[in-house]
Amino acid sequence: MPLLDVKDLKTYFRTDDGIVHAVDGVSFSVEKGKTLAIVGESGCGKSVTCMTIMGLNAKRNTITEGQAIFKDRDLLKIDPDELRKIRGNEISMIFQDPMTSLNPVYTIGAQLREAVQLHENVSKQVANSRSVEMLKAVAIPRAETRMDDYPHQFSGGMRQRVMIAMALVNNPDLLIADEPTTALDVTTQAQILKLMNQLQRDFGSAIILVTHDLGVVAETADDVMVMYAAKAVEKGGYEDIFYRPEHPYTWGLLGSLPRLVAEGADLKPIPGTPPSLLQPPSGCRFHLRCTYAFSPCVPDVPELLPVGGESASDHAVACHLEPEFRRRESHDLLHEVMAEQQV
Amino acid sequence: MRRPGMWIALGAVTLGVVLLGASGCGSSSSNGNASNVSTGASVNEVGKPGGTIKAAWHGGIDFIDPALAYYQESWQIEYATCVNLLGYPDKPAPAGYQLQPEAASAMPTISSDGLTVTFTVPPGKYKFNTGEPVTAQTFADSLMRDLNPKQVSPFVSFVASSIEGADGWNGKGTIPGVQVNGDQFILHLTKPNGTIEAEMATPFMCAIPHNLPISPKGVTSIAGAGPYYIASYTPNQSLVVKKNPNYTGPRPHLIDELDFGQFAIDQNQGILETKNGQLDWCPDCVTAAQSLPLSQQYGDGSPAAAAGKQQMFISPEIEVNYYAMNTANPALSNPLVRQAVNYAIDRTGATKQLGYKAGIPTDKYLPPQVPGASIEKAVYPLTPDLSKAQALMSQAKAAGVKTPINVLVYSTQGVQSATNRMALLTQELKPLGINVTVKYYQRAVQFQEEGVKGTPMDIADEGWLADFPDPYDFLNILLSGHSILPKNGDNFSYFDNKSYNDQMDAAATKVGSERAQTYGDIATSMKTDQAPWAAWSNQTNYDFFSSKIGCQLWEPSYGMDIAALCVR
Amino acid sequence: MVRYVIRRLLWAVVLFIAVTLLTFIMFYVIPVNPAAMVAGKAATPAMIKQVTHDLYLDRPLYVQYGHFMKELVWNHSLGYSYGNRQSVNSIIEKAAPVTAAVVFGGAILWLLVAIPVGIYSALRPRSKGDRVAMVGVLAGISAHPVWVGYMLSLIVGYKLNLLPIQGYCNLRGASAGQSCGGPYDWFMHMLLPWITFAILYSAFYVRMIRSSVMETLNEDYVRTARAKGAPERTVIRRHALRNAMLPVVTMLGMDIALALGGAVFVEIVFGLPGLGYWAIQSVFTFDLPIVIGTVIFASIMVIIFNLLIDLLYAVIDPRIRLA
Repeated sequence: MPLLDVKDLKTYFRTDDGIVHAVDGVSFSVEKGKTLAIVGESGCGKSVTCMTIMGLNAKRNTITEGQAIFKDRDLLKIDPDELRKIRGNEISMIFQDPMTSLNPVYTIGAQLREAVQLHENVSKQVANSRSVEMLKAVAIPRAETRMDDYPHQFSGGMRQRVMIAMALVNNPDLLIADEPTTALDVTTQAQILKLMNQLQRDFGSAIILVTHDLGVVAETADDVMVMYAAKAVEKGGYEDIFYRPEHPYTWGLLGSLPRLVAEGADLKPIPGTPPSLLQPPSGCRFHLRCTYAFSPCVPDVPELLPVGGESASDHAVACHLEPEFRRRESHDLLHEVMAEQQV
Repeated sequence: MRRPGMWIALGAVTLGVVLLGASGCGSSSSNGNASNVSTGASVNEVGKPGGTIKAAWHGGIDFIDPALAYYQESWQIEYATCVNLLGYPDKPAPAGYQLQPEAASAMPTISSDGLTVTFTVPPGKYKFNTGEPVTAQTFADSLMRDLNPKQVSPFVSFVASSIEGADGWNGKGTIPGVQVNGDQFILHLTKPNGTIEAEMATPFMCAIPHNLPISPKGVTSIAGAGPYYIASYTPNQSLVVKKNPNYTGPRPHLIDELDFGQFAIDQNQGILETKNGQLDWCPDCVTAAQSLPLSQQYGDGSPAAAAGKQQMFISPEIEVNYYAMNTANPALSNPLVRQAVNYAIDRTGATKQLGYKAGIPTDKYLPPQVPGASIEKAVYPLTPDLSKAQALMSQAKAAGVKTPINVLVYSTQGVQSATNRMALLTQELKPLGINVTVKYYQRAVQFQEEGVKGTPMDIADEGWLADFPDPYDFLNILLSGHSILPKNGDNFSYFDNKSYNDQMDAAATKVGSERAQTYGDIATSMKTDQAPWAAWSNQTNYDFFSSKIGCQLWEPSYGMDIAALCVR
Repeated sequence: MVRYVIRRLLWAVVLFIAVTLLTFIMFYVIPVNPAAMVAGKAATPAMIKQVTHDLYLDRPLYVQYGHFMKELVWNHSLGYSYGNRQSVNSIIEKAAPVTAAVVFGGAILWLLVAIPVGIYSALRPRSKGDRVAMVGVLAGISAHPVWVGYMLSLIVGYKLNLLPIQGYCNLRGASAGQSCGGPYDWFMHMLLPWITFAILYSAFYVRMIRSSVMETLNEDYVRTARAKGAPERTVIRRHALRNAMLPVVTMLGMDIALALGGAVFVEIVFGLPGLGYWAIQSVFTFDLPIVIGTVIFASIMVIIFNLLIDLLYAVIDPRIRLA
């Protein structure tokens, strides 16, 4: 039984211009101790998915449907105070921009202690020692003294470590990391990812990793869900997505991944821009940018269906193309990339 | 050399007595003909003694020190708290401006050459609230203190030149011209001076206690020998006037106490509080805008007044509003043109612009309270006589005057009634071929500019408030060639006519009815043939009291008489 | 920190010289001869000349300014009023507490109104309460304080007779001739001025606090606090408000400093002899020493308050401390 089982999740926002369909029927599950990566371009609904699970969307103007079963409780239906007790305790979250995610007017220590004391009735001393321990675990040097420092006295990478420490201080079952490395430079990115992997091993938390960077996915994920315009277009195990991708959008993402594209060869960006979620395109939402689009793509919404074949049973894709054709095309494309890489 | 005009000019801002202004909504008031302004006492009320009056000022006072006090408001206080050698009785006009002996036993004896003036002061006839008696020495003290250069009193400019040894006195020792001999206070003059009695009656000559220190900043505590004395004074804050227990003189003194608890009250709020009875009187609170509704509800002829509860009083000031026509500049140098202007202007119309009964239209140079005013003949019409004006212009053209004439008028900035008046003047003079250009100045700047000899100004839109009811204060000061100075002059028409200069100099030495007759005649002939001015109205003053206060008496020299007030 | 303070103080001195010099020059070019005023309405030319000399008015501008600064720095004297020859120090000493009473009382009142209303509006944007508050803000900003003052006097003071119409009472008790005094009278007489003063400012502050809180609520660290599982109350109080108050504190410092220079309208309408009243009065009467005195006092207030606010800011916001 999965730790978190999300079914047909829909999140709509009422705005002055109309209803924004930010997440439009997404299902996935996260296993204990595993990492699920949610991948897609900005604005595809991946962050909103996480915020919805955490109950962090502004209540006014938000319509939420579906289920998110976490340890027998539907996070979308339970009492807000119940959910609050889960937040930061059983499910924690870290965010994209460590520079602004910490409150500038309180010390790191105060913010860490607060995280402990919000969920456990312990003394300040206890909260303090747990916080220091956690800071050490995320490899912050001189953790004891740095507890009294303010966020602006830390570098970006250090702040993200603090954020991670704060998220893990209550030993959560699930950590949601929303683009945790996006705002950091490449070296720091690698360090943070390494840290997260290591911590996952040590603490055994499951992770939902939201990113637009397949490179990050490659280093951490067990399962991957690719989202496009508020819908999941493909999901499966790490190997399915990287070696047997079946959706043209996934191909596009892989094609634009610098590390998979050989030196000298051109990066192949996906043409066009993501569609508006106010009035999403009919049929397959990718059809406007898809080079393989054909007649059924415009009127008919493709269902997310198991792929079958040599893929694992949970590899699923939402595409009208013939499975045979997709497999051949996928093979050729990847072969091409590999071949170039070997040259 | 007196310059009261400047002071009222400043008063216009400091005291809210907007002289040329009386601004506000005066534009439309159709009942603005001021024919029935009360000329003196309101009601012949017999007041009962006792009670306290709560009062406030919008603009406050300058000083209580008699050597320095010079606001209209402070003179009102001095009048209630001072004993002078001679005084004005607490009576409406005309009796109210007849000087009579007060601390002196009789009017002074003046030597035949007019150079020695002797007052006899019976010692102890008056006493200060401290018990100190008033003697001849008291007045010598007062005068010497005024003349001491360290005191910087404005009174120096009044009398220093006419008292022997006073001009340039260094403040040490005695002044040859000021002498005390037993109960006699003797002045030796450098030249005969017809205004010396009036000058000795000003508050500058208030009886002061012996040994009152010289204080250029003004003393803030002083004993008084009048019907009242100043019991306490905090500058810019409060003033308490109380009944003088030692007063045995004839002047009225009914109320026990008069408190000015505020020196900075907003005018509209002051009226509200007075209506409410929280305040009894704010002497400078009624604005032109308030004057009409207050008059209708509480004024002369209102139901309140009929029931003996009049609260709003409109009384005449010793003041004249006039256009001074610059005789030194070519534009209006021909007397015929100036006469034509006098026929063309609408005195009634201009007066209406001031506000409800804010003035009385006149063509006289001398205000009605001034001796000689009844002798001075009305010559010019109160409403325009265009045909006469044009006839005079034709005569002037025949005598070589070329039209159109361009004239530059100086008037006051930011005062609605002045702006309206200038529009009227422009229209009135147009048919005569006179093109008016108006330049508006801040009041304090206006008279300074006008007073510079050689100014390009052709007409000054002016007003003059007297220190005491004497024709000298109008004619000699404003129209004598001696008043033309390089700077800060007061003769804005730059009228310098040898014959009239001599006549005025001679008139200044005369006294009594002869003085009135002479000045009245000078005014009539001067305005008829030379017409250096076009006088157009006399200003009035508004006073609004709470329903509690009665016995209002308008003393023509000092205004509302504090000593006479009573609690109903 | 010490260097920071020293830098601020040096800057304050420069500012002070600039302000006084500017005021001085402004009045130097005004075409009114103050000596004629001091000498009185009947002054002879000789007397005007004497007074002109006594007042240093016949010296060049820099000598006048030097003399003025010497008197100010050496003798702490701002000179004497041309109008009634009172020392300007004594006038300001009496006026400053009046203005301080208006301003601080008003500030407390407007904060008492603006903080809860602003926060409420920010937490429930577009709700009925918020809309009512925003209409109130618009009305408060649009209504001129003179009009508001008169209306309050007329209705609350005159018609309903609930509060005194106007006037100032000494806190320590009535001085001779004054009909009121003592803390109770003082308080009752200050209520309408405070309300008048607070209406305009609370309107500004509701709007400012609303937008500041709304902005802060969108900050990432507020989201972090929620994600930590902090209850909404804690999120707002502990995490949002302290940050949201930073700009408010800055504005408050500026506004109080400026208002201390003269809460002109309120003082005039309610007959409060404070600095604003004197500033206006002395400008009308060309009473230069009082004008300069109030300007200098006001600029000193602005300088001091800026310094205080800077220091306070450093206490609230740790980012400033090391900067």
